[in-house]
Amino acid sequence: MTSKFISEKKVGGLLAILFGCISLNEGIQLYPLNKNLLTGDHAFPGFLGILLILFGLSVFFDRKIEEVQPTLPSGRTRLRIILSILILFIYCLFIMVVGYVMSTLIVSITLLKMIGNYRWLFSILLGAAITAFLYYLFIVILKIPFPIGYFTF
Amino acid sequence: MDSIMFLLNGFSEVLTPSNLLIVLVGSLLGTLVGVLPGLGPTSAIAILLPVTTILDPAQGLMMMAGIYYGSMYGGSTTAILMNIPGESSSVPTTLDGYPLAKKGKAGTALGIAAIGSFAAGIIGLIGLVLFAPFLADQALKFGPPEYFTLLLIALLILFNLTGFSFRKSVIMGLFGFLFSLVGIGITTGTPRFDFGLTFLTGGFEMISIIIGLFAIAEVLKGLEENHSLKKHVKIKSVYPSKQDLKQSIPSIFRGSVLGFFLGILPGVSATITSFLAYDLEKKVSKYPETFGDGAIEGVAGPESANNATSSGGFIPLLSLGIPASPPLAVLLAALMIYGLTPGPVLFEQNNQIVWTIIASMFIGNTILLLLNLPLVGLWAKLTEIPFGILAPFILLISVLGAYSVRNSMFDVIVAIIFGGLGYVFQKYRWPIIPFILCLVLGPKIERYFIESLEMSSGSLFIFVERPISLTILVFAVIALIISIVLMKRTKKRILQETGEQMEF
Repeated sequence: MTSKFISEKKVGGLLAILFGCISLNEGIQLYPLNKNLLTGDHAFPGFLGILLILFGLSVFFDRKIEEVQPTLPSGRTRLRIILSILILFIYCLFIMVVGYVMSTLIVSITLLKMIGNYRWLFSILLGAAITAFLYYLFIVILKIPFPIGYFTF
Repeated sequence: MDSIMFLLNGFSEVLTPSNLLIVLVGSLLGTLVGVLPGLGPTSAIAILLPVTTILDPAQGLMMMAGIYYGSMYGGSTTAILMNIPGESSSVPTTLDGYPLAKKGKAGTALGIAAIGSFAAGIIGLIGLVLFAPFLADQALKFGPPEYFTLLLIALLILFNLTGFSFRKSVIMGLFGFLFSLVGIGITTGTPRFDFGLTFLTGGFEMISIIIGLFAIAEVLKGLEENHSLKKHVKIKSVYPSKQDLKQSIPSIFRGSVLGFFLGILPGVSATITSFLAYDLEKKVSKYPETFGDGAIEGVAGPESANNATSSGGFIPLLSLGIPASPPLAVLLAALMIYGLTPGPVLFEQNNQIVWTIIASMFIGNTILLLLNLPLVGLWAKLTEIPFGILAPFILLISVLGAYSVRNSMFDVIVAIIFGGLGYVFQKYRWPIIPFILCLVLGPKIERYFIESLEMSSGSLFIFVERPISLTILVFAVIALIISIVLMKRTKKRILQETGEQMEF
């Protein structure tokens, strides 16, 4: 986002305008259900919509707010960040399909290997220990009903 | 006098083996969280909130309060030993704490920081005992218009505090507000912003969003940093000498008083008071040239101010239901999840629980002082836990914690998405604090607004016609001016000392 046309301010401003329009539209949709303009479930979506559009426009066209030029990660670091997020999404899917134990074991080993770059044996042992600890905490003590999946454990 | 009796009653509730264990675990967990990189008090309280649901409300809240003030103690350890301020309020501690550590006086600096934190914590708690019930009593006269004005103004002042662009803060606050509205509407019971999707009808779970924005985002940020470079300085004795104590006591006292009294004003954060305390110490010192080179007063003053402000934050939280910082916003959410109503009625309806929590904070602070000095070596060792082990553990516990609030995979997906967003927000300096505060306070503000307008048959003048509401507005303008001046000063000081901008 370093281009003059797609700076963070412009993207932020545009998103604010977009969400503002959605909010305003929701307020308009809800208005017939209520008796008064200012009291009812439509009032705040309406206000927020207007304010988001106004502030979004002001940030979009602003020249005074300092432009942020962050140092974005590159190469291996960027890959690790993207993979970490992806692994968490895959974990959600895994937990539904193969259940808590298998999915947590696989994901913890993968994360340890990827983030810590440890040897396989160390990653497997530590992954198993983390899985056992979290199993004890969430399933034994807190009795959270995680999906069992294809396996019965 | 009533307060003292209630407090004594609270002590009798806390002084049972199981409650003492809860306070101990909470305080130690808090210190651990403060010491470890990648997990702050906000995310720790958010992750552990579902875990504490097996406890009764008083025990759960005692543990979370312990995590909150325990993390304040822990934060100074990395600041002194590794020159890493976990939060912007610890920046002044690094200025003299780290030079002291390099001179072989790390133990002294940590000891003084612990004693200062204890003294300030106790002074803050005494203030809480004296002021909170009085304020709550006064606030009982408030109606919906006064509450609406108070909450709105408090939010505006807090937006100004982020240290970033005010307009960006407002947009982030509006986004937080918008997300808080998703779900069933309060007046008609009709779903809002559900777009025909059933999983949106129940709304967003604020704990999942907080876990994402703080815990997951912090790990993603940590993946960028080089964690192998920093080594902490070796510690010798942790007990300060008589001379160090003598030198530090006035600074601890000054820092505590300044931190507490400025801290109870809305819009004055721990970062502001810790910088003010540091500069005050430098000003009153006979040897100002030693500051920055290892002056013990430069650790005692800001650490005390930081802790006094943090304790003082419980006054508006418990008596008015206004959180002054993100960890307190999560505590506010915790109070609501436990079925308590934060605000003036809390002292009436749940008197026993409130005083038990306050009493537990006195005991927790004492436990921290007694345990943390001998355990300083252990905490320092814990800073050496590799990020490669911590990060996967934090990510997994975040996912499972988000799931366990409502046993919903949707909440986990929300937490992961907000983790990514939190990382992007931090990178591009879009402040997260207004988002969180509005997310938590949004439903309350909407309810008070609608109730006010129903009282006035739709007239907006109700917010300026009622004397208390008008008085709040006048005070708010004064508080906002003070806050703007102090914020600008602190922003400049942070830039001077660290060379970068930080959210405070």
